[in-house]
Amino acid sequence: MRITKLVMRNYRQYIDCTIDFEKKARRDLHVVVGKNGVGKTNILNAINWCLYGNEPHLAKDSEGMPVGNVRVLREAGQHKKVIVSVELHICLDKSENPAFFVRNAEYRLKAGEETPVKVGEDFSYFTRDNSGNTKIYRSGEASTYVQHFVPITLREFFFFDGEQLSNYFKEATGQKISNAIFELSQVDLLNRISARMERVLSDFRKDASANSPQIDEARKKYENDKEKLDQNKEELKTCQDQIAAAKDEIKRLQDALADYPNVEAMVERRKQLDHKLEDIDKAIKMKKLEKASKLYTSSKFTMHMPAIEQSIGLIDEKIAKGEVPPPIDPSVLEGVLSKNVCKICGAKIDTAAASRIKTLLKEIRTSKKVGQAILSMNPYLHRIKEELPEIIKEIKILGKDIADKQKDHKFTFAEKEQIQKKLEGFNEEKIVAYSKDLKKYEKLRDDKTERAGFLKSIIIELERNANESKKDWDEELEKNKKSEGIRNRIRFCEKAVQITTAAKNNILNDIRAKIEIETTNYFTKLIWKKDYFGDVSLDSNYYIHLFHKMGMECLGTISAGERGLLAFAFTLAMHKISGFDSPIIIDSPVHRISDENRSNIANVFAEVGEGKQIILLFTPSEYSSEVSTVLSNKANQMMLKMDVASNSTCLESYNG
Amino acid sequence: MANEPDRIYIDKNDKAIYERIEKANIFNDKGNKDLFIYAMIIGFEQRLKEAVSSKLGFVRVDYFNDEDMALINSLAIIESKDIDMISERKTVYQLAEEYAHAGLKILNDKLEKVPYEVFESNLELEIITKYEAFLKASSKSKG
Repeated sequence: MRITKLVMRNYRQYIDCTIDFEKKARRDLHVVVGKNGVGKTNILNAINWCLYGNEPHLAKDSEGMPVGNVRVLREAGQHKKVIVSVELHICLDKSENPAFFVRNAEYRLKAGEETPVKVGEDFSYFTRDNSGNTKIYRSGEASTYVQHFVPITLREFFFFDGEQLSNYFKEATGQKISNAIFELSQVDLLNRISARMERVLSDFRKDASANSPQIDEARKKYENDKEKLDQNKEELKTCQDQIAAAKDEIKRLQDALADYPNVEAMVERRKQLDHKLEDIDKAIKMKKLEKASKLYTSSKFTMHMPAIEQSIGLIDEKIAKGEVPPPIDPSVLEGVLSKNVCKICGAKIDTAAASRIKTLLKEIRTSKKVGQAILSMNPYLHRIKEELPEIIKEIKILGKDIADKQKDHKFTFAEKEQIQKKLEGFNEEKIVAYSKDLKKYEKLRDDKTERAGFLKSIIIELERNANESKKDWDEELEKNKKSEGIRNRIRFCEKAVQITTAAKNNILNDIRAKIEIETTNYFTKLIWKKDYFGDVSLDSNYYIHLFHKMGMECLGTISAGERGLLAFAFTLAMHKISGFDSPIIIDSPVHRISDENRSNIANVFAEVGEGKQIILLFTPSEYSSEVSTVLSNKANQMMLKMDVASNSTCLESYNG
Repeated sequence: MANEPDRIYIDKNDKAIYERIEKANIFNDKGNKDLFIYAMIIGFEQRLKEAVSSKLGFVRVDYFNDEDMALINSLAIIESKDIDMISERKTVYQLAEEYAHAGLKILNDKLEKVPYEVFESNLELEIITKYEAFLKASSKSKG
């Protein structure tokens, strides 16, 4: 199968462009060179749009734009229709019977609207029968022929973007590869046979039960046991699918996180540091307030210390002289005055004596008041004197504490700044979300693995039960002569199911083994470090593993370019095994491929081009001397050029 | 006793200064009486007093605790060189008011002249220097 011609009308950059893919000598190798923006990738999109109705390789800035050429749509004016059309002419067999797929979309600019809208789309397949009559198949029927050409489930192995190759093993999960291998091996037929046989078996068993109640009872017991077994097997399968999906996600997330620092830990550490800084700030503030309060007290006492010291001296002197407290009790003198009689000698008090007693009493009252005051202040003055050195000591300690905390603050802040610097330029939220997802999937994988282990042990037990009840049922069937014919049919069906299942497994294992061998072969041809890499293997979950010559797995450590080459080798292997001889179209096939490997990849293109059609879309810089030296004499070379006047892309012959 | 003053007065113009300086860290959680005592001690240390011309009641005497009273009384004792002076409460409080009036201006100058952190570190240095000088002087007088 090959593409003979691609005709694009009013499709994106192409107002009217036909690309003929004529064979050059014995090779079916085609090189289309075009600068960025002229519509190189849109050739890939045009083919996808024609066959499947979508454009998986669309540039971000074109998403949401109509497939029609914007200038043509705009200039069409109101109510005038514009037909956007892509024809893909193919040749399905060596008889060169022409056939083509065509997809048309009709656009109209409605009154009052600025953007033309699509008002209809149709898809058809034109071919000729052996008598030369044209046959037209539309919509669903036409799509059936697409499935013969390149099935949609396999298109990413036929039409792909080299820029995506380096990410291939991030995107092509085990599940995707397993689906592709199922599609390639066409084991679906065997699955359908097995299912049909199981239904026939079930009917035979029911028929046999009708012959005896014992057989019926044994059948029911077996079916009951089998149902339990099937339920658990079903749950185990779901579990294993979930484990595989979780592993795919884990791998994808690990790859996504591989280029980033441990952001989650850094963000967590930064959070801790923020809390620590907050705590330090609070502690410094508290200590400063405490110190300020002690400065208040100590400065007050220090400034007043000479007065305190002198006061203590004067008070102590007064106490030492016995002047404080007063030597005479004023109440005694008050009694003498009130009764006019001396309390000691009993003599009457005359006026002069009374006057002297009054003066004395006044002095004693003052002295008592002063005495009380100084007695009350004296301990405070002493306490201040004693406390002051302690307060000054505490101020010094607080000063040191504050300095230590400030130092701690400085170091903590510096660590935070360092983390901040490392995190600059990374989308923290996205990376943290990735890390969280990674943990979630790791937990899911572990939970499901545990559950699967439990189910496996249950299944062993249930299988034993089912085998025993099957044996009982068989014995009941054996006992019953009437069931002999049915018994033979049942045995036949059981054998058929066994054979079909074994055949399916053999085919799958065979395909897997072939893919491993072919991928290894192609990869060895493509890579320049031939002594470095060993085998490629596909595990039971269809994960690809690449081994170093020394036996260590090394897929995670190879460069993006090498990953691209491995993906390309795998794709070529899939082609070879699939039996589909559909063409391969690769956009930017040497993207990220180093100069050393470019001539190798070009040689592989030339080799593959001998057996099947390859269309390669290069930018001028990608079509470097390493590549063009190998391909120029072997490939049909074309050049895309933007016509400035019409603002559309046209085709020219390539002249280097 | 009936003639004893029941409150301490400040100059009306000092009210705004007190309100401003109370925001400084060293007066955190301190009341009017504490600010007054502090200003009084500064004035007395500098032996600067100034009559209060337009009086404004500022602190009720009852609010002073024994320690505050000991500081006020010691000032009066040293000023008059007479212990009995402390029975003259009106005179004692008037002395305290006059020293506080002068001291407040000195304190305000110190606070305004430099940033607060510098004020605090100057104060700390001053305390240590003065205390060491005091210790030296008192050991000399004992010796």
